[in-house]
Amino acid sequence: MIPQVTVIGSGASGVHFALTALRKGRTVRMLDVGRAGRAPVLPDATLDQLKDRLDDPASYFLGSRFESVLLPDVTDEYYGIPPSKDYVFDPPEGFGHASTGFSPLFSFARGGLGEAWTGGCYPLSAAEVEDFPFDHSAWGASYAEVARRIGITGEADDLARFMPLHDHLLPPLKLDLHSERLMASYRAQRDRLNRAGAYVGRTRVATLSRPLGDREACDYTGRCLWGCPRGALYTPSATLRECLTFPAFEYVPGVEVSHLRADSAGRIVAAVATTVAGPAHEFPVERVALAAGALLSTRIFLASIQRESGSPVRLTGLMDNRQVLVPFLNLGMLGRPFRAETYQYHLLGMGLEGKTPRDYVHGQITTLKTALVHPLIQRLPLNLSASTRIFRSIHGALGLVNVNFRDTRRPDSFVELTSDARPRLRIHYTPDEGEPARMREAIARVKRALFRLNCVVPPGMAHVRPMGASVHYAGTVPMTPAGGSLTTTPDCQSRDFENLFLVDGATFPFLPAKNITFSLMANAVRVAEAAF
Amino acid sequence: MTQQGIFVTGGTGFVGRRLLPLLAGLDRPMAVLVRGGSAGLPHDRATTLVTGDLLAPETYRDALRTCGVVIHLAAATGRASAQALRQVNVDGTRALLGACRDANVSRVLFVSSIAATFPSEARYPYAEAKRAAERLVSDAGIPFTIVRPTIILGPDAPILSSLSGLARLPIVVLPGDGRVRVQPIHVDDVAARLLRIVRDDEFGGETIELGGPETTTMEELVQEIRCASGRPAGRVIHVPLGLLAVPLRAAEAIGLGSVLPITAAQLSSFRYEGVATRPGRRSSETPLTGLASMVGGAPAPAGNAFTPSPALPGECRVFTRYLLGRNPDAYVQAKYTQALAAVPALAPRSRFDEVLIRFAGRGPFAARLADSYASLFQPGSALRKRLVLLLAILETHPPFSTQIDRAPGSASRAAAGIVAHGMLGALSLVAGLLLFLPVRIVRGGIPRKTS
Repeated sequence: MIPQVTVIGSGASGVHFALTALRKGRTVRMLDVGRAGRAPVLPDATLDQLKDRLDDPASYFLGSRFESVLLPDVTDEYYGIPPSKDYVFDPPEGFGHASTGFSPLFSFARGGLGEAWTGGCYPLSAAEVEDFPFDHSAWGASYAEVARRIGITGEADDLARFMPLHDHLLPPLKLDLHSERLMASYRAQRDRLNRAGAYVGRTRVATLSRPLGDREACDYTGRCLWGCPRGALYTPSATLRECLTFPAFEYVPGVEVSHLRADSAGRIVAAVATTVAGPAHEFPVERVALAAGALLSTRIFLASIQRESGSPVRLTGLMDNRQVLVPFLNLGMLGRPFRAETYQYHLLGMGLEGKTPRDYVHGQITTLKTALVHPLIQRLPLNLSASTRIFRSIHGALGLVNVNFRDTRRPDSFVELTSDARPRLRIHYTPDEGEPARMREAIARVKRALFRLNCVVPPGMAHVRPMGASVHYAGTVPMTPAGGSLTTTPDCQSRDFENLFLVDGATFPFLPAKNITFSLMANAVRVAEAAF
Repeated sequence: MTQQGIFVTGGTGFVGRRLLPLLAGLDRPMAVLVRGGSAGLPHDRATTLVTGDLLAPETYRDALRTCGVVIHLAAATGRASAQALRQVNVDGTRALLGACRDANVSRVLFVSSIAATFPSEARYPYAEAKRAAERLVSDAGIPFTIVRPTIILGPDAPILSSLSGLARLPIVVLPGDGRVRVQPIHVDDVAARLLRIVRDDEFGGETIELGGPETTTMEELVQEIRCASGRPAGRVIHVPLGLLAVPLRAAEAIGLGSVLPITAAQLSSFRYEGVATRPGRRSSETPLTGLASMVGGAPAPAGNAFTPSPALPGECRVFTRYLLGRNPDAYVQAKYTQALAAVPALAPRSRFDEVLIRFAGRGPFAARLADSYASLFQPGSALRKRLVLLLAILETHPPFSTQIDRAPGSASRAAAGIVAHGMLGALSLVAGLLLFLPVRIVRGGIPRKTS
């Protein structure tokens, strides 16, 4: 029997679209490559206990082939992805891409890129949703629904001016000592900072401060970076587990959809996939929700449309958040011991007002505690013995602001397919001309704000990450109020194939300076509500 | 695919001269665009020399019709004027691509430059021109591959003459801080890669950044070149780039450009990292030529590559004592041995690399001196990599992990520790410099144990 809905991809967008459809009584089949991770080791151990109790801790933390060690002179962007999360980025055999100006990350994991996220959940402000061509009141209910499903901690504080409040916020997580001190400094300097357009407050994080469903609350083991063993940090695979409790849900892992086949009337009749086991296989479909992640969905969409039209197609408007990492040293924390048993990802955020509300710049503040230290120690300009001893004094004082910038759709950033026998994505990204000036100005403001918080930024240490590093891809098949081919309706229904919905970031017409995962999930819920 | 003819521009250039003999081995018809002279080009029945001008497509359009593949090497480089750079690299490429479309050419291989990855800067017209040319190629609607080599070295490498100019001075005057990294590649390795793209029909619209096996700093490279010409390593004076650019530009403006060792525009090579991010190599390929063979000007040696000696048995113990002041346990020793076998990057890549490791293995104090030198002058050395890897192992395993992270407790103790260890570190650096600079000068020699 043909299911009423076929969802392609199990990432943040796909699972929330599927869950909404299931709750509305639809039959749903999910096609997915579905790489799976391993069960967490010693789930009750804290990070330090883990080092002590594991038989081979180096394999756990560095990988069995030492692949997570950062050696000097490696030029690639350092993501610090632990071996336990390697599977998130493990591509199917033969997968490749060709990119200029862009270093994309792809995921074929069960749960998608969200399996390796850091949980930031930021609703869009009124100015940021202006380009979205639907009734803006729809956001509120969708955000609340997602918050109810995944559990988001947060607080009504100074950052609320940049990210509206919604229902179902859980009480915030406990602050670590370093973050407490930063907040105390902020309170003392609040007026001066606010006059300069800088605000500090709690980030919104999809980490539970009380149990929800089969997930436990955060118990501060300090293991977030290495994979939360309790499921306190939300990942999309949790929603996939919930979908699997519905008899009307069929999960088909091990298949990589290459394209969608349409009939002569332009209606999609099948999803064509290669399976791990062997040759191409066709899955007949009624309605399709493409949710493989903006880039992989774009690839499937391009392959489908080129088969119909017979000529190459270029999709313009690719967006991603530029990120700049600004490390800092909190002078008040110098030499102080710190507890690894605290929450490890960002607990605080820094918001900078822009010239217009759309130019808002968002920073996530992380106090560094349990990440590997050898990547940092080797950067000090001395021998490693002296560097290790100096690092000991500054470790507890180290922090990092991950500064995010907004992006807009432009014709010179595009995605197309190569002409190989097995076409690959070709991605070309060109930043807009104003970017360098915008970055310089914002980084200077971040440094000034940090200085007011009793922190210094070592000169020359701010690091501009390559485009693609933020993994917030969007904009290739935008939703528009009216339009033609290669766009969707405001409810994300393709204008090329009437029974196709694009429910991930591909349809976003604007990319604010925020982690968009929460908005992706909310939009997927909204689209499913409208479609069924 | 059918065995189509190959059309080559720039066949008389530095890369072209090494590539043509390889292409001849494919046994496919070949046409080479030349401006006039054809000295040194292959004379065989399969190769047609086409006398013409890149900017005048009518001079080579007919030849293109018999060719399915175009290898576009012709370029203005180095000291050429901004106008010439633009004319040859951009307008020339545009003209060629137009003719390719007319002639139904089905593959274009364009050799660009790593400079195309430098941040956009109007003052470096070469990079701008290469970037513009890349765009033309990728937008031409013809299946293509773009190759961006890093600095290309080898016999008669044009860049060697520029860098030798700097290297031969009694005191080496180096623009910038000299720490910008470069990854030179041998011309024959570039030619071999280009050959493979044509042979295996790899035209999937990819941009391949191509670098050699060793990443070094610009300063190291200049010193290598100096040593290769029989001089000892020289004292280096670093001149801020901004300070150099102004007089160079002024001298060029009054027509003195040709007597200067370098142009203002070329300073960008001293400012931006010239390393390949995606080497585009497969592991099954033959190893690339090492740096030492490149600067010597001799052809790449066959089967004569440097082979490192096995690691010393006491190395892990010495290094752990050096890093943390205590002996490693059996677990750390086992993991270190395992890493040496599993991680190819830990093997020394040059004679001097090995000198550092063997010297450091003599004891914790020797390790401190060698590491101090390496921290500044050989950050990518195998010694440094082994120490970092050992540190990584230690930070996962108590009691070493807790020792690495033991905070001093108060800000005043932290400050005192930072000052003390900073000063000790600086002293070790001076001692390491005094010791290793002379060794570096007598390149290739391993200090023998006197005891």
